[in-house]
Amino acid sequence: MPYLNANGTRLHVQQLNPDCEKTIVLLHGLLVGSLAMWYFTAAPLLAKTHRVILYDMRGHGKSEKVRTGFDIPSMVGDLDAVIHHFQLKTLSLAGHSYGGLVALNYALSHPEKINKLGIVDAPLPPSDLAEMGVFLNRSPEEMIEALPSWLQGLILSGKRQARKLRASLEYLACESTLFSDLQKEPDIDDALLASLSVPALLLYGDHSSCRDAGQRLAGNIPDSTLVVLPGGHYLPVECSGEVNHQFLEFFCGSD
Amino acid sequence: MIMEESLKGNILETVAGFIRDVIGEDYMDDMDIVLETTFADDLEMESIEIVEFAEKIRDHYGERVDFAQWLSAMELDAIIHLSVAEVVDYIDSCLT
Repeated sequence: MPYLNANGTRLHVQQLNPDCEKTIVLLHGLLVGSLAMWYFTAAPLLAKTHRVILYDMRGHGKSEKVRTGFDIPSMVGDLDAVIHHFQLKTLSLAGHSYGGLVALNYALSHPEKINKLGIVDAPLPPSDLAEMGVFLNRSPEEMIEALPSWLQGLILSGKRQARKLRASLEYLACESTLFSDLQKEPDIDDALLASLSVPALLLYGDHSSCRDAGQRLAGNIPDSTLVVLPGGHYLPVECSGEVNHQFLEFFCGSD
Repeated sequence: MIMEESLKGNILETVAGFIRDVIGEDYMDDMDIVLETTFADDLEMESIEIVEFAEKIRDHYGERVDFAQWLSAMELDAIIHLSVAEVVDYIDSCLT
């Protein structure tokens, strides 16, 4: 499998349509996320007009199971390493949940590189992560039970997947600094959001706990469009048809 | 007709080999991978393992077989119940 070294951490990367000139990098959310979430939903559609690059965040999917570095600056550093590896001069970014925050922070610090930014149900402040309230101080079994039942059905159709997910949650929640890093993560200043010059699409679920964050981003980012879709926090899977449609219109429409 | 069946037989053999590679140590010798076998229910593969499988398919068959594109047209429910037969038929349709 293709891996790259990001500041000493081995990250698993996948590419679709690598010869295309325009590039988009897709970022997944934490804990139950991996690049598979985008790989089986929006990525192949975006690949009709873009080179699509996806990677498993540190500690997730097939990337290295490191115990630290889940703070935003480290995760932005990982994204920067991916962008450098592929020598991308300009690109678009889209991310779900915490991946959306990593994308947003990258766009705030490197606006000249980013053509368009897509944020799907990202929490703000970062410590408002949807899973935090239900996952913190719970056993992996309780975390799995706290997931929406349709999502459990989707990712746990057999005992083997359940065993692997339990082991992954055990490591991320109990053996890594993920939760403590998130709790310490500072909020983003509204004035900084107002300085963002990149066009942003904001997709939020109408019954997601992160919905207020969408309103706040839309109220502060000048060139932003908020679209509220029927669904909860796991919108890219729960409402994939509509998320795909919005992505295609935004990223593949005229610049 | 005989040619066609032998091509599908070869595809099945290739697909089964990739599945064994991906599942690795969890692959049980008594588990037969046949056309009726399903990825999520029978093989209990995680979605990231299906990505790994898709990569092997692409590396082996090249651009002619765009597995990710094919899956993206399916409802998630259909992906969960995806069978080896459907994958073999799809690859066969790309090659012939």
